[in-house]
Amino acid sequence: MTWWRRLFRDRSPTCAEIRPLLSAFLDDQVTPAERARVTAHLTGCPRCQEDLATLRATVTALRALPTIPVPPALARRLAQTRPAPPARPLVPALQRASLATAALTVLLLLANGLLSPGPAATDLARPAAAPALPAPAPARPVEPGPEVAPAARALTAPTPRPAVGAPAAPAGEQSLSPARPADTQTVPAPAPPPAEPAWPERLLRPSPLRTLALVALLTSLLSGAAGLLLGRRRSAG
Amino acid sequence: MESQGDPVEAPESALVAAARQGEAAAFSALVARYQTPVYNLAYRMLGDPDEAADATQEAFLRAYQALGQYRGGPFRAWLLRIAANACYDSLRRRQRRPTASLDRLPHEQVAGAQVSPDPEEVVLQREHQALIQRCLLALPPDQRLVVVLADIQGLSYEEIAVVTRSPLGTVRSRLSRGRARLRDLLRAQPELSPLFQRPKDRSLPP
Repeated sequence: MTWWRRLFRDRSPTCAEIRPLLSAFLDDQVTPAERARVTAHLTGCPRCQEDLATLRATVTALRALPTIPVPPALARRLAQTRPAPPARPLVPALQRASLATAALTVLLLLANGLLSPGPAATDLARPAAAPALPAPAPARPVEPGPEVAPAARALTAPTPRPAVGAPAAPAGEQSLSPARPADTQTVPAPAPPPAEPAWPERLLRPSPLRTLALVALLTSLLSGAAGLLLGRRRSAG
Repeated sequence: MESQGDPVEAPESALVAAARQGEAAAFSALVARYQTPVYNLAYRMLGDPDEAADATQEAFLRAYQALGQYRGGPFRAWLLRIAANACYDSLRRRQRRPTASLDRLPHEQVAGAQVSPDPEEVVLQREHQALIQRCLLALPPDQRLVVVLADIQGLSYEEIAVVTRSPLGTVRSRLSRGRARLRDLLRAQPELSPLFQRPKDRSLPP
């Protein structure tokens, strides 16, 4: 045993050390060592005995407080409230569906190439091709449209498209000149397509992928909104 | 007040399971079983019957919605934890507006076993009970909660630990401080001096 333990081994616990234990002592929630110390101290300490007695009286007084019956009005309210059923299963499912279809929308759009630099490439083709081929000027802007756009749409990777559109000045001339004899024949047919479909107009152009993307987008918006509304109604209810 | 600690556990777990499936009747049975202890906890914590009623309703509402998260263990402790939180919320709201009539403690009444034929004594007991309640309200909420749970609701230390999400040691020291402070407050009320007189002809409960 260390020297200081030997020094203090016989010191009796002070009232200040015992008093915090009295409440637990009342409830028999003390360790055997603590119980021994408390009991030993109490036998010789009237002040702590008094402390214990007043604590006990306090607990007795509390236990003697009456149980208050539930007021009838409250009992009626409690019986009548039918809280909204836990929205828990539905709301998260809707939110998950919303996220999933949003992700699907993005994937479909990517696949469709709408997020690639397509319009820029085809825009380059148009001004480059226009001055290069002066003669059938009105027909000229139409050519890049039907020629380049279907080619561009067929490609899934964005990188080859600049190859089609960007070197439009030299190559465009090449690729378009053989078509020139056919211009006069093809011009009347593809007249309706506008000069170069601007990006919003490309969205409106029907295509299966684009339709799917739109449906997915709508679904994600609807399920997200439904999830929000149901969640809000539940917490307000 | 007898301990509310031993409702028949088996049917209760069936009730809880059914309520979790959304059975309204099962949940109503749980409400009927626990509305008194929940209301009593709220009243002893808040001191106002209307606030206590609101907190009680709020507690059952939250309990219904949180049923999916109940993972077993003493259901009463789980429910009383929700009730205690509703009481804390009510106390926080109260700090932002002037206190309502805390002096009005209309519930104090004499329990059946204590009814005395002497009307004067009845009034006296009622006044004593109101005083005790007022002193309870003077405790810090954390201490008030453990004192109410232990000495009015009759919960064990272990159950209190579940309700407060505290270790046993914290429950023990908080209860010790709460009881000691309440004792000092009660002793300062001259009308309550009879509580601390040692009767000679009847032995104090252990």
